[in-house]
Amino acid sequence: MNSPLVQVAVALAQAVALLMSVAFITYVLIIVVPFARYRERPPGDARAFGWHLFVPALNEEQVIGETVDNLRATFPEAHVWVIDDASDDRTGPIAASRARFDPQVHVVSRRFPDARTGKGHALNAAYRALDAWLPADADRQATIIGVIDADGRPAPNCLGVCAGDTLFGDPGVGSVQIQVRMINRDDPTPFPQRGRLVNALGQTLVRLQDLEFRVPISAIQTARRFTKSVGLGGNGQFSRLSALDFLAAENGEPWRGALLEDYELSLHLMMTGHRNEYTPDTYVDQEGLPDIFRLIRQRTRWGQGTMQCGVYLRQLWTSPYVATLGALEATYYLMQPWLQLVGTIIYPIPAAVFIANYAAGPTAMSEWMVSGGWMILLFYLTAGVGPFVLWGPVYRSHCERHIGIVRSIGLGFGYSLFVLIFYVTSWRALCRIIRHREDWFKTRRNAEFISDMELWDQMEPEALTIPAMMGETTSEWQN
Amino acid sequence: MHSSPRGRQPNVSRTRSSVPGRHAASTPSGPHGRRRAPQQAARHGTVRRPARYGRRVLAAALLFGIALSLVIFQYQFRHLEAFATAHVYRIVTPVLAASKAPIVWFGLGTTNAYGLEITPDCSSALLIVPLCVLGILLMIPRKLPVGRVAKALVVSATVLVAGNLLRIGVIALAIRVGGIGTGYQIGHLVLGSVVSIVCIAISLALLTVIVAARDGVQLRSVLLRGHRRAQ
Repeated sequence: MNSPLVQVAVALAQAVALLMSVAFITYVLIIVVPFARYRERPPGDARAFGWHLFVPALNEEQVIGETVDNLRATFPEAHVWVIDDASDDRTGPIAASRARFDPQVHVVSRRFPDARTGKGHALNAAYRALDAWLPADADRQATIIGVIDADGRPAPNCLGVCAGDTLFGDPGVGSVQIQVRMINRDDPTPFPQRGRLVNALGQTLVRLQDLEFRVPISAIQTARRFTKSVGLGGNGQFSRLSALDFLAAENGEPWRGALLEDYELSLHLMMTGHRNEYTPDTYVDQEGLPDIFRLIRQRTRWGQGTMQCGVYLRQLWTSPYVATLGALEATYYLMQPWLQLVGTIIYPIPAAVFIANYAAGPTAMSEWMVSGGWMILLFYLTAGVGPFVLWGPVYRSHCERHIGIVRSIGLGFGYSLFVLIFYVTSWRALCRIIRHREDWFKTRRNAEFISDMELWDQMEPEALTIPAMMGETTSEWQN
Repeated sequence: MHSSPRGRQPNVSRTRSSVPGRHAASTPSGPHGRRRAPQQAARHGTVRRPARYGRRVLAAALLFGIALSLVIFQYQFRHLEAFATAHVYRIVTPVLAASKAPIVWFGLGTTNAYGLEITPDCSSALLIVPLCVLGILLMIPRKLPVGRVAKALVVSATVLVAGNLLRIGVIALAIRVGGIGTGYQIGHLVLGSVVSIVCIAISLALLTVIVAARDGVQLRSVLLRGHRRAQ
């Protein structure tokens, strides 16, 4: 440790870690301001637009019927397009039974070998079906396509908000992403068959996902409205048909093949001069994942998808439609999984130095700690954890007023632990990229997962492999 | 909105040709069929300048050279920092930089004189190295003029160096107030770290603002607009 070369190397690693940490703290402080100052905007007239809701579905028999019924009851003016991606279960017949009696429900059936090639391809199939169905003189500028998960429950004001003057009411807006919430955030027993501790952990995990989507992600998206780099998510994503047509004219299809096909779409829209917008004035509810295994798998897909989208960096920087600030923001986002990889190596270095110094001279280090060294530990802990803890009270003040202040701070601390998952998933994503693994498995719904758990209880321990517990024993594609 | 009967097969080619801007994808016009005037494009900083790779490569090589020099000659840089600190604080208190080590002496002429050694951890030299790496990356997009990136890096690095000088001053002040034990610990470990973090944040924010600003005039207008809004 006393070699000058090692000292310089350690100091350099600490300098990089410090710069990365401060960049993140600055980013958080910058995005908090527009989020805190955001004021609700008046809704528009949904009747001025034609609405088509795409619901990609692969083995969704447990939820699809209820989802279609809910969408039709909540939005009588909208058409619902269920995309059955060659499901093994009764998804297709359930959707077809609705379509038989309701002319505004449509089923797009995909069959092998074209089926199960990715969510983007499934959405493209629905796009083509809609294109064929629409009359020749349809106003494609006023036709809006929404993508809703098979378990999605959009808010009743959703279409009206999206039709607002600053959203689709503005002809320059190509797409709108709405806020995502976790429908099961108040469910105290996500695992009815399990004990209190497992249920408490499960509920906390769901609550943290709710916090993540409604506060930090919402703040990032709100700030992106200024940098004009709003990203689309897989659920609650709305696009103007004419904007998708524009992409289709360039590439043949609007959605491409990345695992993060939603963010990929937003990049393409940005790079062709369309504006993506975000609104927290309305929301779509979806199921939160109460178990860590499925969560890791979901986040690995996000990480891998983000890494895949890195191929667009050159286009992003040469596009005449993307401003420098937007390109910088999108680059920072696309670099995140890579920065997390770097972080896993350099962030532990100060701790390693501390341990090494302690091993070399325990008495001296103990004296240093007592005489004030604890202050720097406390300080860096505050600086490292603070940007995450802060979201707990913000979540309380902006979203869930019934949560106590102490619990909201506790959630903030929980969130600072929750984000550590990205250090695992980024490495997992990198491994998948190195191994050219681009296939994916659908995240199983909670009801399916619970029935899986009941099966595991009856299985021999040696049969309980990680892939089996993560649900990677079923068919492809993502959620 | 659409009242077409189910199963109706519209004329696809007609549908496609009726889409505004659909065939404009390969032209320089925007998605709404509006061709962007060159002046307008220039205002948005979007005109592709002729590729001047030579200048970019040279700038990137220079940055690499600076980064490498800072690592190799960090001891000499720390010496310079000690001299700079002595020059700055000499105005308010007797300060001297040691001639053979990166140490600054405060409180000279009193019984409480003490020296602060600028170690590799405490120097701004190694903070500038990742900044240079960032600069090399920013030299890649042709959208960013070399001069603007260079200006941003110079401002950013200056703030880092100035911030470190301020930090050393804060540590010295804390020692004077709290003594060599507690004062040093609080100054070095807490107050100094706060100064560091604030200065690095300002440095990065300035870097972003300068890189993202289209030109100085627009940067000023952005700042003035923000000021007026605040009023």
